[in-house]
Amino acid sequence: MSKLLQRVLLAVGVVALLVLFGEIGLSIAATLPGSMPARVVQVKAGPYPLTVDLYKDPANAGYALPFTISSPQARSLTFDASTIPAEGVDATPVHASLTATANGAQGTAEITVQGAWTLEVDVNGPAGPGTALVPINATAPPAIPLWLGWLIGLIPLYGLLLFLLMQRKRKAAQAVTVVAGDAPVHNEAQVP
Amino acid sequence: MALTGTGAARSSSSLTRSLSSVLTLRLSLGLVALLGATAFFFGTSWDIQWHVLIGRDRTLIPPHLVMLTGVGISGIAALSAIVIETFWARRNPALAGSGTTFADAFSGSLGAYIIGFAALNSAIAFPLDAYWHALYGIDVSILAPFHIMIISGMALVALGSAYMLVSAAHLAARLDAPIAQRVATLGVMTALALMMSNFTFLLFELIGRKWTLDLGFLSVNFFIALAALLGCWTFVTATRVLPWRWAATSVVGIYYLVALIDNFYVPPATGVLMNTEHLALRQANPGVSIVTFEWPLLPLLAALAIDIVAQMARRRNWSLRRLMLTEATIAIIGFLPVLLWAPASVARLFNILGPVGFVASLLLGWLGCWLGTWFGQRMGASMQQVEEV
Repeated sequence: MSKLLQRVLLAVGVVALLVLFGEIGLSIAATLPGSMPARVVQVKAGPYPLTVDLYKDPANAGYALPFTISSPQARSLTFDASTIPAEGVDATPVHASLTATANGAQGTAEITVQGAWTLEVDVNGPAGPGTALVPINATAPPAIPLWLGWLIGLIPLYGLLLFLLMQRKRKAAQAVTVVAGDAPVHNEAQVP
Repeated sequence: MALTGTGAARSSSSLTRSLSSVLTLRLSLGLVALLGATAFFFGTSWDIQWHVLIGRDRTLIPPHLVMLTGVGISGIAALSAIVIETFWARRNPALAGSGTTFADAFSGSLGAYIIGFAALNSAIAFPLDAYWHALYGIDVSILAPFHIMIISGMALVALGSAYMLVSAAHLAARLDAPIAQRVATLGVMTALALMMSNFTFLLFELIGRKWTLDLGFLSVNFFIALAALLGCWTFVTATRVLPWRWAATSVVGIYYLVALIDNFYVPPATGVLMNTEHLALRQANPGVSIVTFEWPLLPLLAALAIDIVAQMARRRNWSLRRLMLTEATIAIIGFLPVLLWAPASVARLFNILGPVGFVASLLLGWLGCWLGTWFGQRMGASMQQVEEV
C-alpha cells in the first residue's frame, strides 16, 4: 500500500474516531436537562395537577428527551412514566427512567422513531391513581438517500476487498524479490 | 561496528526476550479481541430475540450494551497492541521486522490493524443505525445498511484476531514455546468459527420471497450463494492455516457449539430482564434462542468435503485450480438451506423459485463456493506469510 494511501486512511480513521466521540458526547448531553425548558405543559392526572417541563421540543428521535414533573402535592405522590407511539408509528412503548426530586420527579424518555408520541405520566397518591397524557412530536434529521446508506454500510466489505487485493500485490512483490535473490520459487499453482 | 562473539550472543538473547514480549502481547490481545467478537455475537443474538419478542424499546438496551462492550474491548485491544508495539519497535529497531509498519508512524501486527479498522466501523455504524431506526421504525430488516456495517465489522474483528493469533503462533514456533503455539492455534480455529458465526446473521432473512430477485422469466435467491461464499472462505482458510487434517471440520464444530451455547444463554437472559424491567411481550415467547433455531445445519458436510478434498489434493499433488474446482463443486451440498426450525426450507425455496430458478440459484451458489474457495486460498496464503520472523 502506498504511503500516501496509508496517510489518507490514517486521517480518515482519526476523523471517524473524533466524529464517534462527538456523537457519544451529544448522546450524553441529550440526557441532561437544560436550564430552561423548551415547553411547559399543565396537565391533570386524575385529581392531581401537574406541570411537565420538556427540555427539547420537538424531541429528537433516537435521543433521550429530558423532562421534569412537578406538583404541589409532590411529597405524597409516586410517579411512573412511559412514552407511547401513536398509531402508525413503527415503535413500541418505552418505560422512562425517573428519579424523585423535592418537587416531583425528573427523568429521560426514549423516543426511538420520528412521529407523534405521548408521554404518559402515571401518578399514585392519597386520592388514588391518575394518568396524564402529554403529546410529543419527534423529528429526525433529514433522510439520506438509500443508495448513500448502502454505500456507507458496505464500507467494511470494501475494506476487506482492498485488503485481499493488497495481499495479492504484496505476494507478487515478494515473489519478485525471491526470484531476484535466485532462491527457489514457491509454486503457487501447486497445492501447498 | 562489528559485534564480538559475546556481544552477538547478548544481542541475540535480548532480541529473543523482546520477541517473547511481542508474542505475549499478540497472544493476549488477540484473545481479548476474540473475546470482543464473541461478546458481540451473543449480544446480537440476544438483540434479535429482544427485537422479535419486545421491540427496540430504547438505544441502550442490555443486548446493545453487550454488543457495544464487544466492539469496545476489541477496539481498545487493537489500539493497545499497536501503541505498545510501536513504542517497542522505536526503542529496539530489530523488533520492527516482526511487525507491519503503517503510515511511517506505527508498527504492529497486521491483525491489530484489521481489528482496529473493523471495530471502528462497527462503532461508527451504531449511531448511524439509531438514526436509521429513527427514520424508518424499529422493524427494520437485518439486511439494512448499518446492520450490515455493524455485523460485518465485527466478523472482520474475528478475522483480525485470526491474523494476530497466526502471527503469535509463528513467533511461538520460532521461540520454541509449544504451549503458546497451541493456544494461539486453537484461538485461530475459534476466531474463524466466530467470523463465520457473525456473518451467519446476514443469512437469516435471505430465504423467502422478500430477498428473491424476480427477473420475470426467472426468480433467483441468494441464500445458497452467500452461505457458500462465507462457508468456503472460512473452511478453505482453515485448511491452509491450521496444522491438522480435519481443520475445516474442527472450525464447523466450534460454529455449532457457539449456536448451542447461545440457546442456553439467550432465553433465560431475556426472561430475567423482562421480569425486572416489567416489559410486555409483542408475541409469544418460544423459550428457545431464535438464532440457534435459524442456524444452518449442513455446513458440516461442506467442511468434511473440503477437508477430505484438501487431503487428497496434497497426497496426489493436484494443481491449485483442480483443488478449487473440486472443493467448490462438492462443498455446495453443505450450503442448501436446511435449518433447525424448518428442515424443509430447501423444499420451500424450491417451491418459491420453481425448478429453473432453483437450478439458477444453485449455479449462483457454485459461483459463491468458487469465489469463497479463492478467497480462502488467498487469505490462507497471506496468513501464513504475514509477519514470519
